[in-house]
Amino acid sequence: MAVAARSPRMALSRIPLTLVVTLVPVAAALNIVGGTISTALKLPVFLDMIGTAVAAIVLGPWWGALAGVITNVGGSFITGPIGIPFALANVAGALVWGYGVRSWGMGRSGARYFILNIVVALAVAVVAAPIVIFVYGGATGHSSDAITAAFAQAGRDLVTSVFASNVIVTLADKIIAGYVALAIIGALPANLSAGLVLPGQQGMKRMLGVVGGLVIGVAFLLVYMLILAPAAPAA
Amino acid sequence: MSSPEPPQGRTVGPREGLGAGIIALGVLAIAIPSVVDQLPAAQGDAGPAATLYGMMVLVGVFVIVAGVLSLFIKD
Repeated sequence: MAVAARSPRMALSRIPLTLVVTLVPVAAALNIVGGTISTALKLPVFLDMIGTAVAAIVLGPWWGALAGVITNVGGSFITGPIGIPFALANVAGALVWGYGVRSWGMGRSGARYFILNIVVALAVAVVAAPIVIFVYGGATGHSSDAITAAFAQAGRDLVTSVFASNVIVTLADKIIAGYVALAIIGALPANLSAGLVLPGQQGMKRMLGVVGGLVIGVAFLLVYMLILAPAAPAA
Repeated sequence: MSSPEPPQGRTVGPREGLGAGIIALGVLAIAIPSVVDQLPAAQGDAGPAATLYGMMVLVGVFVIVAGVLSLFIKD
């Protein structure tokens, strides 16, 4: 009796435990580093869900959710408990990214993947905005609060201001995160992403090199500005 | 198109992933009440109870989603 060949979907559904044990903490660490960089540079984006996207797409939506929760709970030991409620936003993003690529075929083309990132942003904003309003009174101390303040000064009420600023910031943040995650996945060994249908992986390694170079350059600039320049003797 | 090689060693599938997600939600359900009194809204007139109620409603929604998905999940 001939044995039926495993379909790519079946092979995709089983992943090595070692990959999960390795990638989930690395994804959480990537999230924490991204968030720290964003806070240090006072960027109006978060950059704290890139690892979530990678884990959700490569491993599955609920492994991505686990990475997201580890990010916020583990990060609370560094930055305090302020970020713990936002773990639910991380979970929402992981589920949409994971199911979007692995179940709904949103990775089949560049346009679909772009739309997926927009859907992720809206899902995250729907979860995060009420948390910002009811738990933090509309401001969390993040750079994006300036956008909320701008809407409030324009005459909008608190709920509208927070939702509007959250959607704007989250859209930019999740699109960035989605494409950076795509580049990272493209740079992973091919067997780890076998069976995944993702747009335009050719050339992603080049993009990752460019992004990596930019990050390293910014890091050198920061080191110079924060440490070397103040320490230099006056002319 | 040839199918990818099946992974060697112990593997996990969607069921285990869902289980990990439910564990993560359980961790949140423990962590949030532990820190709720440190959140800004808990310092207000309503106290921590209202904040805790809202956060637990959100956690509960995700647990329900996980439970519903567990009825349909296939390995």
